[in-house]
Amino acid sequence: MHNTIVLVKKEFRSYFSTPLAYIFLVAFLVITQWLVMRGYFLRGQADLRSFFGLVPIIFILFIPAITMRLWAEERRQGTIEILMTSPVRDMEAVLGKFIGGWIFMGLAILFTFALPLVLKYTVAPEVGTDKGPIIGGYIGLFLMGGAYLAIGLFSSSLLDSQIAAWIIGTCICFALYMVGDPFGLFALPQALVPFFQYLSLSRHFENIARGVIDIRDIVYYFSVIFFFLFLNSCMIKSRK
Amino acid sequence: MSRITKTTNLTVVVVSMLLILVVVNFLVARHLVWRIDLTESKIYTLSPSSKKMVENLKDIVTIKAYISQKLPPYLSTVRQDVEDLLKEYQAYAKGNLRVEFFDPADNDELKRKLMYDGVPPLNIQTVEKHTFEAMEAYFGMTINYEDRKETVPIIDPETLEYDLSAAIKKVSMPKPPEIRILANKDELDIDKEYQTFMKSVQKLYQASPIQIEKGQKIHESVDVLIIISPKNFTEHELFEIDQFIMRGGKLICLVDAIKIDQRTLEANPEKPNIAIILAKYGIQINDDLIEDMRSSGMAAFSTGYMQTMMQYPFWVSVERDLNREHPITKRLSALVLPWVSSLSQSESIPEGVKLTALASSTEAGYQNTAPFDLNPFKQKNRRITKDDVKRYNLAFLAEGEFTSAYKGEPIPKDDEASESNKENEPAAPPSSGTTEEQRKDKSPETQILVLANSLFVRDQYLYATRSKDNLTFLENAIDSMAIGQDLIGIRSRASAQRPLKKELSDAQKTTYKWAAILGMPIVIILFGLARIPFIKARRRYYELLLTKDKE
Repeated sequence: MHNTIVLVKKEFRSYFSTPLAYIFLVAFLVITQWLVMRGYFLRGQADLRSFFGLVPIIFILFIPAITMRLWAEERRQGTIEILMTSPVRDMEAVLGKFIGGWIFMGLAILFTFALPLVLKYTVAPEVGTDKGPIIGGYIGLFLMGGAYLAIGLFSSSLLDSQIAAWIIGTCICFALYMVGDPFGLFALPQALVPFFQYLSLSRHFENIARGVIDIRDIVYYFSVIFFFLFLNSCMIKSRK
Repeated sequence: MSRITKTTNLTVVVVSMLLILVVVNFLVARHLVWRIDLTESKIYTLSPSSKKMVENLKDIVTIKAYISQKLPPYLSTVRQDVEDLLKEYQAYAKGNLRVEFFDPADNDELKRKLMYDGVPPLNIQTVEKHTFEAMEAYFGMTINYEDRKETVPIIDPETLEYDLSAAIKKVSMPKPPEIRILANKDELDIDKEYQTFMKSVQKLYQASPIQIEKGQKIHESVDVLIIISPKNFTEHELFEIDQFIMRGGKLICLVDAIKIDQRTLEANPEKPNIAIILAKYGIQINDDLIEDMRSSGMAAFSTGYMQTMMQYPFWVSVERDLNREHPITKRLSALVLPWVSSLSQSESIPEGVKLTALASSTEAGYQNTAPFDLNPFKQKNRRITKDDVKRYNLAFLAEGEFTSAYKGEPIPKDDEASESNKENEPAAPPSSGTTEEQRKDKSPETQILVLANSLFVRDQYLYATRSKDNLTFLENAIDSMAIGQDLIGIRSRASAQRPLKKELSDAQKTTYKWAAILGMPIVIILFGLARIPFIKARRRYYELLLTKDKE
């Protein structure tokens, strides 16, 4: 546990020791908030539906971009040998990187707080905003981002090339996001439809973003995170 | 260990882990129900009204859900929501609610039965092997109680709780309330022009238009009488309406005090005589039209070949000034009332009667009196000062024990009956109106709702005003009068919209927009720039250490 905490601190600090974190945060915030705000006053509704519709798709591209370097960089710099020969277990090392990344991603999500503030100050005072879907949406984003992050981390452990890791990470995230899409489900046998729907990251996110925190969705996201972290640690072990 | 054995072991471990996770998810999905509804109105949780309703069931209600196994994907996700909701109902029903699922797929006999019960098959287009194909699917339910049955022909997830609770209420009530609609039959076809309203009321009640035929009284089984855009009644008809209230009947009056030609926008006072008895119950309808300079609806006007959408103060949009204490209006977002007249309290309000304003204009309400000029393009040239405007009441609910408007007077004669008696002696049948023995001068506790506008729920204006709450307002009022306030909570909570402030200027909008887009990124850039010297200093320190080590 102690090792994990040390690694988490190291990982989180490492984001801010290069311009990468700043570029990521600024690009993410400007793009998403511009896309949301350009139609906000035209729609005339004080909710964050467009934000919660956009961010899961933007994350598919952005999160594998921050995870692609996590293992590849260790290999390139030769620090992976130090890490693997130190008294740190594989799972601890994986968890350290994951939690560090998750906190960084949580920070990125938290920095969009300007949007709920705009809602608060622009909504008609007699109706007010419904905080439920906003809180639910943020919790959903955090969980979904965690799942993307675990997938990205796993893909980074597969290959030495950062670009290849990014492409694989993006493809897996996209596939898990789209697997419940009606367009794809039409072609499947009827018996498999509920299974694939359950497998879909987007469907569980939609549930939470309505403002309903359901144990099924929570268990699903933690299962995805755990499974990919487990795969990751197996991959590290096999490469030793 | 050989490489092959290592890979096999790893695969076995990974597959085992995957299987464990699949089983855990399966068990949780099937057996564990735990969820928190964070929404303000608890939209996704069974409402207290529904809980109370099923808790109080005296006998077993059986819900038969006819849902095809083979459904297009967008409907199969809804199936899960339907099952969840039904589970919640069952949890509160103390064993008095049974749920059964059927797939009518290959059962022709069941299909015929469903056709008879009013659950139609849906014809849905789906994609099969890259081609569009039509498929037949069922997505409805019946609610059965003793020998009574209600149908939800097509499940709409948005309104399912209301539809189900309404159906359960209806089958389990000893007698469904009777609603009658009284309108001027020569000018208004209620079934045609108020189709949306009628359909919605008929979901729950026995509702149909009536006329007071030749001096007959309004039947005692009628619970709520809705008068829509009436012309002048005969004295005897007014007396029968009065006696309906004295017997404890509830009245909703949508009266137009000003007659408007909707093509030419000519307006003339033409207050029907029901206003006289309403004044005696405490509610005065004024001969005016209210404009709201601060909160008005959008209206479309034709100018030659063009159609222009504009803010039209004669279409009063009541948002802030809805009564937030009363269940009828508590959760509504906005009512849009086209060409509405104001109401005031009569000079002498009867003792024991309480008036509640349900909707008012803002403080910027302006009272127009005859001659009226409703032309939207002329409005801008007027000068209206602060002293000319004030708040006006637009909907009143009177509750209490009312005194008859005909107290101490003889029963008015039925004009039509007496005329026919003169002409065709002795043919006319005896009048079955209220007799001297039956008449009452004091009502039990009852309610009268008055709104000086009948257009706001007419199909044409429901569409033109784009206000979903117009219909909800009237539905809530009927529910409140007919069966108490059980169902209001369920309906109103789904209709919450979150409009923006109206008074936001363009400059404010631009400020909010750019503050949201650039505010945080600028802070992050500044923070990053401020850290550069520290990072450089640290790097220099490490480089120095490395150089020393090498030396």
